[in-house]
Amino acid sequence: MSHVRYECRFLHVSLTLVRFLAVLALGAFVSFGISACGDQNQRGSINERAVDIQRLSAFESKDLLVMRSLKSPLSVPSAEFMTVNGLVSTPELFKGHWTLFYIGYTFCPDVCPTELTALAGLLPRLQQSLPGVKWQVVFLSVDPERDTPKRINEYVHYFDKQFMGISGTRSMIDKVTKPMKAGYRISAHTPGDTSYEIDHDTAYRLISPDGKMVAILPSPHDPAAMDQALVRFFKEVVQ
Amino acid sequence: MKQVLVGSLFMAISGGAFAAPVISDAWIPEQPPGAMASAVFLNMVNQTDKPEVLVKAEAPGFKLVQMHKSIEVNGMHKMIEQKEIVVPAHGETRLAPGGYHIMLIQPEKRLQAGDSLPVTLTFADGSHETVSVPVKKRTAMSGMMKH
Repeated sequence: MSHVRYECRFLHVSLTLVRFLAVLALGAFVSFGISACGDQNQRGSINERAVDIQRLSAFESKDLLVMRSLKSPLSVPSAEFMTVNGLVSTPELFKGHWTLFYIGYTFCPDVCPTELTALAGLLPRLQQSLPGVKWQVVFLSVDPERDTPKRINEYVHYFDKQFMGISGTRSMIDKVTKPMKAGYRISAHTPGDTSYEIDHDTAYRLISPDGKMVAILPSPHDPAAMDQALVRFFKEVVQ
Repeated sequence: MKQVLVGSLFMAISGGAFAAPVISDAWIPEQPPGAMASAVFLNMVNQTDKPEVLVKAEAPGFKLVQMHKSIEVNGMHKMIEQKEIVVPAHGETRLAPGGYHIMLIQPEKRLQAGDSLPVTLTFADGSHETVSVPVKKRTAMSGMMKH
């Protein structure tokens, strides 16, 4: 009897050992698998991954009049904006895309239409030269007093149906424009006056899928030159 | 054909005002829906020995018509209202995107490509001329500023 019991105990111990080893092996396998997946997630697709800070800081623009990259990426703060299709918030708005961001107002007779026309010329070029990249153009109106979501939407869609028009409260607008140094100044006007003007920044800002501003494209905007600069930027920093 | 017609119409209208500069390349970019302002762009050539000074622009169907200049300072675009726009003696002044323009504010109806608008220019010497300005769609190249 005791012999049998001993044998049973031995069997039990060895089974426990096997189980223990199996769990260890599984654990190692699982953790290896997770870290491998983790690496992949970190790289991710071109429209999801974060910008490599070292590669960004090493990038040198060939023509500073066309493109200036930031030495370190600048996080766009979280804020909520209105669109014709409801609320959107940063930085979620930027996920899954590379964004060209521009501020202005629909009352603008000269510069905003000029810049939005140049953006409409740039977008198909980029879609052709960087086919793996999902582009998004976001126009932020800094004039919510006059620009309703409907008006902004009609305005930007005139230039390109793919453009997105947003606006929000003054505090939300300032929350994102101030750190990005996208300055604007509303001219003095009496209440009820609807023909005031707004001085505003004219650069396009390049924002990565993880919601970080990585480069500025100053005006004047030549679609061919911007296309070249962005292709080089993607080759050296992103791809 | 249309341009020839517009051109000859313009010659007929302005024929009487010898002192006024010669106007060419006048156009108005089609307005996006919802836009409350637009602009007139044109070129003025002064063939006389004295500077010509544009002091007023008028067009029917707008709440306000003003003369402006877009300028850029440290990446910031500003518009400055102009009381006058000078065309130097034997010189030319271009009203073009990113620079001088006649601003058309709060239209009664949206201007669309194919329309034309009579724009009356008044100069400091009292001469004036009316130009029939065609409305055209913008192209990426029409937006390029000359530097």
